[in-house]
Amino acid sequence: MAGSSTRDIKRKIRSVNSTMQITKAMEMVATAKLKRARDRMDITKPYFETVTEAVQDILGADNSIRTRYIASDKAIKKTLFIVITSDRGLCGGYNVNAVKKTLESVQDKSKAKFLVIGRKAYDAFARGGFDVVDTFLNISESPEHIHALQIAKIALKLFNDGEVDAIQLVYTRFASTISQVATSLQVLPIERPEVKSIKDEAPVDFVEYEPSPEAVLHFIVPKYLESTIYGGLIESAASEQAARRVAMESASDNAEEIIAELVLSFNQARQAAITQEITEIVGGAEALK
Amino acid sequence: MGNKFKLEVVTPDRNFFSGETDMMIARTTEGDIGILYDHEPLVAPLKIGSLRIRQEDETFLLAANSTGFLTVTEELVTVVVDSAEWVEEIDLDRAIRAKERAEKRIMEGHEKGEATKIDMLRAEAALKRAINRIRLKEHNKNI
Repeated sequence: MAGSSTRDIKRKIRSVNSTMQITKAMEMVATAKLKRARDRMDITKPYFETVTEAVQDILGADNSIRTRYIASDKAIKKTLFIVITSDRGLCGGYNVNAVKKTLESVQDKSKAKFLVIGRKAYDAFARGGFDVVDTFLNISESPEHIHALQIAKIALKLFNDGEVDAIQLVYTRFASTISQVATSLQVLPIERPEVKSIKDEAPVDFVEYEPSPEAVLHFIVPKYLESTIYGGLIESAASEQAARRVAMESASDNAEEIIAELVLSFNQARQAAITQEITEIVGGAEALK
Repeated sequence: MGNKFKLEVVTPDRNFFSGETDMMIARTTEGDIGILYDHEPLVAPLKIGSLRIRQEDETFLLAANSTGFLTVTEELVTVVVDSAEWVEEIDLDRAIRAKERAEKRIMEGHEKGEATKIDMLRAEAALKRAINRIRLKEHNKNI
């Protein structure tokens, strides 16, 4: 009896141990990938910030420009959600949070379209009966600029054709290696920054646009969309690795704890078996007397 | 050398150039434009072309760029482009191969007709980029 129970425990220890080896390896892989993703994020950040700043500057400096790219009082009817998640699981709440964040902003299922990046988002939205216009798989781990171009092109086409009148980007902001926040960002129409009143800041800079403000804006808005999506992709990739690293770290810690407990009960069972055997031998010897 | 201004050239994959110069020439959709110190505030889209940045010794740094835009403010001139590379970095063989590939695609596209319109635009853009690189490299072989 006792022999089989120690064998069971031993088998359990071995199985937990091999799981721990996997989670440890995944943790190390995620750490290495996280480093690479963060390096890329540092490189792309200046670009991302420069484009955003330029667009804000143009809109802030000149409020005579009126296009449908700029937020107005007109109510938004249909929204396109661009949702960035990963292709693979085992990364804690990373995917769930992004999907939840999206659903928070969806008021009416019939008035929302989805452009999903990553298998997890595809599974969540396609199965839920949402209107998924396009899917990008296998790019979320190492996104390239060309992917952002393609996504932006599809999104902009929907916007220009009047299929949607707002574009929301849902990505996971990389706050730190231990904290990632799912964020929803309105990309189009662009919120006009607070225009400083002319009295406060005279004289207002006169900015020249070649060939015309509208032409420049029509050129820059797609660039703005591209760079925002690219920035979101890069940041989400870093967040994914960070989330996975943390998840795998706690999994490894848990496995270690379980092993410690199992070793303890293994030792107890073994000791109990030995004690019982001695008792039996002693009992048998007594009986022969 | 005249007064200098701060110039930044950024692309998605790197901070291409960051420093001071007294003259920068870029190709906008309206034609080449030269920026000197104290240029009036300006925003202009850029075409596929070359960037020229004058250095201390009066020679120019040359770079091939794809589309983007240029902003001039009082303190800073910013060039944002999809891609850029210095003349020294251009891989001539690769550019020639890209040119042939794009040409082939355009030829095939013409046979197929309307259906491949977006692919055609893409191939044309690729062809323009390749030609731009080749031309820039050939003109500056001594570098």
